[in-house]
Amino acid sequence: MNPELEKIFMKVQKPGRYTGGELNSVVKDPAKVDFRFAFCFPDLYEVGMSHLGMKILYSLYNREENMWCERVFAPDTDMEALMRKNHIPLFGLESRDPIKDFDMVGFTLQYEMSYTAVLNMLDLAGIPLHSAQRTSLAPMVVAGGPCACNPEPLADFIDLFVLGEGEEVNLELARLFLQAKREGWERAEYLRRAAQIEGVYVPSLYDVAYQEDGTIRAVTPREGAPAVVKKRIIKNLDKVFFPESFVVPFLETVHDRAVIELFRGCIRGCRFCQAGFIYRPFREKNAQTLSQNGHALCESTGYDEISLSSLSTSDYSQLEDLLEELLLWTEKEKVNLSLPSLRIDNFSPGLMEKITRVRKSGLTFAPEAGTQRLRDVINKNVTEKEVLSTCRTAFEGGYTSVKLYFMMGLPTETKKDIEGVVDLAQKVVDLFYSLPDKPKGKGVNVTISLACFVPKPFTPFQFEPQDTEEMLREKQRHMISYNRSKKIRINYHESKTSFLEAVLARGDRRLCAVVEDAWKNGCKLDGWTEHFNYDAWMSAFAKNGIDGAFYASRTRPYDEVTPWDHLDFGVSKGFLVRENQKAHEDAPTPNCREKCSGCGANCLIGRSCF
Amino acid sequence: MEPMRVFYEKTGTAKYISHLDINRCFQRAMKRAAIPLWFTEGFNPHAYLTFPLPLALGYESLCECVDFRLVEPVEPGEIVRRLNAVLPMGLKTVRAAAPVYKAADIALAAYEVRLELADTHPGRAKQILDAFFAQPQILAMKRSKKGEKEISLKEHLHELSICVKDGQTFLTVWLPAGNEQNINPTLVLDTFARQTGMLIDRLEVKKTAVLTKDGKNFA
Repeated sequence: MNPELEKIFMKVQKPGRYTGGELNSVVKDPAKVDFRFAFCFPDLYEVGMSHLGMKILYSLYNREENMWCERVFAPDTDMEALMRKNHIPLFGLESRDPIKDFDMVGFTLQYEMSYTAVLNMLDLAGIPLHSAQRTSLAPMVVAGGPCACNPEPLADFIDLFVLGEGEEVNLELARLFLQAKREGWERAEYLRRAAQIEGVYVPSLYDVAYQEDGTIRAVTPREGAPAVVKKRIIKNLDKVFFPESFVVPFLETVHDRAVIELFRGCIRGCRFCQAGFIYRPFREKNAQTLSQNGHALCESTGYDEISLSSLSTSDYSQLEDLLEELLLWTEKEKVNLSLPSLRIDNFSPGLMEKITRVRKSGLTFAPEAGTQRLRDVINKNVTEKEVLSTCRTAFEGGYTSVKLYFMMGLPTETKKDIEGVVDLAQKVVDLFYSLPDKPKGKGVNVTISLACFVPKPFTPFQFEPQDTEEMLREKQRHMISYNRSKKIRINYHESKTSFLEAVLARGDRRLCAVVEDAWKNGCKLDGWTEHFNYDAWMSAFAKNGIDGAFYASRTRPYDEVTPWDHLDFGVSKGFLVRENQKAHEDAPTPNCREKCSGCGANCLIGRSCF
Repeated sequence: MEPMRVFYEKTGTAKYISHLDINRCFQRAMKRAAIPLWFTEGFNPHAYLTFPLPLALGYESLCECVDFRLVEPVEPGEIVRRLNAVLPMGLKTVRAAAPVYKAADIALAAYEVRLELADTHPGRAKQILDAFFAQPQILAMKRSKKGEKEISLKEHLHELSICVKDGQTFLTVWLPAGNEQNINPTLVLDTFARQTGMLIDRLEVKKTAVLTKDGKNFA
C-alpha cells in the first residue's frame, strides 16, 4: 500500500470512504485490460454508493473482460486538504491509481448543485478543467444522468454527454474508444465519430448564437453532428442487463440495501416533475424477473432489505403479484421490503396489509399542493378525499406519523393555496382523533415538508418564472403564522439553493464561467448546507456580468429557443406548450393508462405504450 | 441454542473498518454463508452477534473474535470454511469453537507496534524509546466519556520490548484490556511523543493475542 496514502487514511474521518476493498468490488490486473473507466459521483461516498445507476454501469463494464470500471467519489474536505497537501491526485477506489491515467472519466449528473464538485474532482485529478485544454485522446471526460438533459452550464468542461439510458450506449462509446486507441485517432476525431452515435451530444460541435436581449438565436451543429440529438432508451427492460451483485459498503450509506427497478418512466405527468417526462416512455419489468433480480442480489450481498424502486411504486401494474412473489422468499430469509414512492390514490388496505407484515416505519405522501385548484394546475391528480382515506388506512394500520410533501412557489399560487397546505394537514390531525380504533396511547405527528418549486427543462413548466427569494420567504412566513397546531411541524428548504438550481437547470453555456468562478471561490459541495456558500456564487455571477434572474425568474415565451431545444428526450415541445396552457386553465390531464395525451415519447419504442 | 465463538484476523485495508461497520459486515457475511443464527425475537428481529473485545479503528489484529448462537448445529470447521468464502478482503476466520471463557475474563492484550520517528534513525529511535520506558514513573492523560483523567502507565506495561528489525523499529507490549481497564498502544505512544517532543511519522499497531488474568490465551 502507498505509505503516503496509509498515513492519510489514519488521519481522516471515515477512512472507509476512500480505502475500497468492499465485498463484491472488482479488482482486475491493469496489464490485462484495454479500457479503464473512472465512474465519478460528484458527491460524498455515502450518497454516491446509494445510486442504482452507478451499480448497474459498474457491473456492466466489469462484465467485459477487457474493461475495468472503478468508483470515484468527491472526498470530504478533510481528505481533500490532505490529498492536496501531499500531492495525491484523485484515484480510483479499486486500484488507487490516479484517474488522470484512465481512458475515460465519467460523471453522473444527478443534481445541479453538484456541478462545482465535478470541477473540483477534475482539478483534484490533475485533469485540465476545460475540454479545449485537453489535447491527448485520454482521458476522455464524459457525463450523463438526468441533468444531462440540459448540460449547457457544463459544456466547456465535458467532452461529451450521454443522453438517456446508458446500458447500451456506454459500451458503444467504450468500443469506439478502443478503436480510436488501436488506430491512433486524435481526440477531435473520436469526438466527431462519437457524435454519430445516437444519444451522444458533443457540445464543442455546436455553435450557439445569441440575440441582443440575451436569449438564444440559434444552435448550429458543425462537422456533421446531428442537428438534434435524441436520447437513448432500452426498449425491453426484461432483457436489459441488471447486476447480480452490488458492492456492499462497510460504512452506512444513505440507501444501503438491495434495489429492484419496477419500471422506467411515469404515467402521471405531474407538470413540475422532470423525472416524469425525461424518463418516458413508460416501460415495466416483469414481476418474475424482478423477484429473481432481488433474490440474486440478496444472496450475493447478504442484504436484509430490498427496496422497490420507481417513480411511483403503486403504479406498477403487477404490484400485488410482485409482493406475493417476493414474500415467498423474503419472509423465510428475513428480508424486509421497503416501498418508497407510494401514491395516495391507490394505496389499498390489501397493500397496507402486505407492508405491515414486514415492517412499520413512517409513511410519506406527496399531495404537492394545498388546494384542489392548484393540484389541478400541476396535474397532481389526487383529491383531498383520497389523502384522508389513505391516512385513515394508515392510522388504522397502526401508523401514527405521516409526512406530507408540498411545493411552494408553484405557478398561479395564491395565499389561499398556502393556507390550504396547513388546512389539509389539520384535517389529517382531526381525522386521527376522530377514529375510534386509532392506535392507543399515542398522539399523531404530521410533518409538512416544503420544497421550493424549481422550473425544469422538458416539463410543461419550463416556461414558468420561479418565485423570487422574497416571495418565497413571505410565503414561508405566512404558512408558519397560519399554523395553529402543535401536532403539525413545518420543514422548509433553503430558497437560495432553489434559486441556483433554477438558474443552472435552465441555464446556457455562458454559465460555464460562473460555475468555474464559484468553484474558484471555494464552492465544491453545494448540496451540503454546511458547505453551501451563496455569496461565493453571487460574486461569481457579478464577476461575469450575469444576472441569475434572467434564467430563473423570467417567463419564457413558447417560441423562445431554449438551451436544450436541440436535445430530444421524446416529449415534444408542442406537447409541453399544450400542457402549459392547460395548467393555466386549471385543467388536469388524465394519466397515460387512462388516455394517451400524445407527448411523443412512444416514438422511441415505435408503438403505443399500453 | 449452541453458543459459538469465531476467531478471525483483520488485516490490510480491513483495518479501516470501524467496529460498528464490522458488526454489520459480519451480519451480512453470516447471512450469505447461510449460518443458522439465532435471531432476537423483538419488534425488529436481527441476528445476535457480540464482540468480546472491540478493536480500535486503524489497528490490525490476528486474534479478533465474535460470539453468536446457532439454532441448529454446524461443524466449526464448516463455519470457518463458509465464512471465508464470503468475507471481504482482509477479514479471515481462523477457528471456531464453543466459548471457553466469558468476555469478562479478558484482562490483557498483546500488541506489536511498528513505528517510525520523524528524522530519526531506527537505532536511535530504539535508544530514545528505551530511555523513555526506563523512567521510574510514566503518567498519561486518558480521555474517557467522563473527561480526562491522569493515570500511571508504568505498572501496566508488561513484557515490553523494543527491537530493530530490517531497519524498522518494533515495540511489543502487553496492556490491560477488557471491561475493567483498557489501555491501547496509541495512548502509550502519544504520551511518549508528547513527553519527549518526538514526532511519530508512522504507527502501525497489530493485536497479536488476547489473554486472561492468568495469562492464558482467550479461547
